[in-house]
Amino acid sequence: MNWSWFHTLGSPKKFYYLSLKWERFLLSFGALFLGSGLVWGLGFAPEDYLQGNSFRIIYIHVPAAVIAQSFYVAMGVAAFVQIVWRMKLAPIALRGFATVGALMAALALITGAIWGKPTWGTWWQWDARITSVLILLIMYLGIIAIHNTYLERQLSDRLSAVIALVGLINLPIIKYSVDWWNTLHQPATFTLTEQPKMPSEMWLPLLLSFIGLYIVALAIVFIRMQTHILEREKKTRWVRDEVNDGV
Amino acid sequence: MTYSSIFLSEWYLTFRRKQDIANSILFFLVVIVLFPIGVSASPSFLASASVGIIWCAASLASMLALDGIFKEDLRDGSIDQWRMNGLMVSIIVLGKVLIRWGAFILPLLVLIPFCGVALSLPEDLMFETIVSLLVGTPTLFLLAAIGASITASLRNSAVLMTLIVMPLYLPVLIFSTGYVKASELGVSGIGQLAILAAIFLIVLLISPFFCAISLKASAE
Amino acid sequence: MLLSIKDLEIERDDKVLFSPVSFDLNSGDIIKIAGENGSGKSSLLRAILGFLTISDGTILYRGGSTNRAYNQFLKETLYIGHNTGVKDNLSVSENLYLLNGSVPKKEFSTVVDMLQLQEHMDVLCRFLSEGQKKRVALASLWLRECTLWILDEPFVSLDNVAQALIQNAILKQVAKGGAVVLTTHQPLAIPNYKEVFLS
Repeated sequence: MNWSWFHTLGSPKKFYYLSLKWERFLLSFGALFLGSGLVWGLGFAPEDYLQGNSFRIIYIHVPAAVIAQSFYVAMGVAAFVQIVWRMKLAPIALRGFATVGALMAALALITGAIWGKPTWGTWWQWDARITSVLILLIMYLGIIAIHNTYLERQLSDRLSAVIALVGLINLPIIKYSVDWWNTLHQPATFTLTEQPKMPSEMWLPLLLSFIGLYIVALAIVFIRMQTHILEREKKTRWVRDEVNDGV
Repeated sequence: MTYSSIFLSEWYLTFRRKQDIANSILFFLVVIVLFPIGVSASPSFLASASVGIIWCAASLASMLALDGIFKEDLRDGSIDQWRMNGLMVSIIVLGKVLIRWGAFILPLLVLIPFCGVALSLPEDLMFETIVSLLVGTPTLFLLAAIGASITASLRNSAVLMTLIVMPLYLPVLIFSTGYVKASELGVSGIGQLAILAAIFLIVLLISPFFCAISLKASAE
Repeated sequence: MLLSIKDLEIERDDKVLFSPVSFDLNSGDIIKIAGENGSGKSSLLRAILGFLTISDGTILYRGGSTNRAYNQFLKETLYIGHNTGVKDNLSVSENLYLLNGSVPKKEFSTVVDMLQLQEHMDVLCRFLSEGQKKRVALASLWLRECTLWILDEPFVSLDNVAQALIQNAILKQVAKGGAVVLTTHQPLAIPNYKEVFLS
């Protein structure tokens, strides 16, 4: 099997230039999808018969929540690669996914609260999904905190990888237990995102904005990774050339 | 160095520093006292909240009990010597955590009946509360050990440790209080107990392994 | 050949510690690692022990680099670093047992007498002087049978009597066919040692 792609991605320098190329691509496609999804969803999709216009926040809320979860998995994979192969790029990716994932979790919580006020009449409800996202945010913040605490870079890379991987292994257990806990405490909560028979004029823009936000978030991860690469490799020639060219 | 000489020394050290364990138990009591005073002292509230309060206090106290368990080993070079003698860091971690758990859980169990009375814990739930603590706290200790190993080289680690360990505690907290509540409703809580045991086994497998990784990284 | 180091380099936080180091260690050899403060002497020792990731070069243990060769190497090596593994809250006798658990306790007394620790056997190590604590750690030199000794600053905080004891022990060790790698700033009163200078 040809593993050269693996090594290409493992080299910060090669990844830097590759991601520079991808970045414009991703940003323009992401903006296209996200823009059309949002315009369609916010402007033209039909009103919800129960919630009126307030439901339209799902075009941000649901994508953000899903991305926050899937980035945690991506971060866990980076942590695994870091622990097993000590690949140079892995901790950089881990940190990128952690930051953007935390942002997405925070975005999901904020939009959820804004949505909750008109529908539930309260900013906050200990609903299973919301609680899961809150815990996810805390876990992200813990990893970022570990990464920021240690001044020795090797140490901070490895320790944050350990806690990220432990978190990934525990995530299904935590999610399952929170769901179980929620049915125990609030058996009657009706779930908003699982509405039966969402018409296609409603879910198509949701799909568009989901794909769009996903691509944009990925592009932000890449941009953050580029910054980290430049900072970490600041003593190498290519970074000096690169930075001086820009000035 | 051999496993037995290390574990025997750990036993001596635990009892020589018994005030550390005593402090975490006292902390447990202080948290228990906060609830009736801070929330409500009415017996009806306390009766329904008592299991949760006991478990919250036990979670916080367990983190305090394990904070610093590896600090001395890292500082005085013990971790190097374990490896020099061909011993597995993960097995030593497991032994240390179990010894400390033993020193923590015994005084805690003695105190639980008194706390139960003070919190109006229904008498017929006392047994279930004790069982839930016996099954659940080893998992808490193993999870806190991960946090302790990650923060072993820090001087002030308690807050950071709480941040990274607390999310991992939630399943234990949920199913152990769930087990007691099931009994309160007159349903069998054996399912929750089985889940707790399953979580314990998973954590038993992963915790020493990850502790060893982070201790070796910290010793570099 | 016990140990063969070739072009070893260590990086700590993007800083290369010393220019590539190569040396071979045979039985009967004494190698003194010299260099200024901060030149990476302790790091080199820890890298040889596999406790520190090396950024370049190879380390061969008895000609091999497999996990098995490494584990075998650890087993036949005695390492006494800056942090010796002596526990502050254990007494001298408890520490001796902790560090030399595989050695029968009755063998302790002659070494304890020689190192003048007999009066402190039941004293916690936190109440001992630095030199006395160091003696507790160094007792392993006489108690354990190891082919290779790796000693990081063994003479620091010891008085002349103890320093002479250690030098004698080192001579005996190489006479037996063992080998010693050590770091020190002091001149050694030992003939025929090799010096590796870190820069």
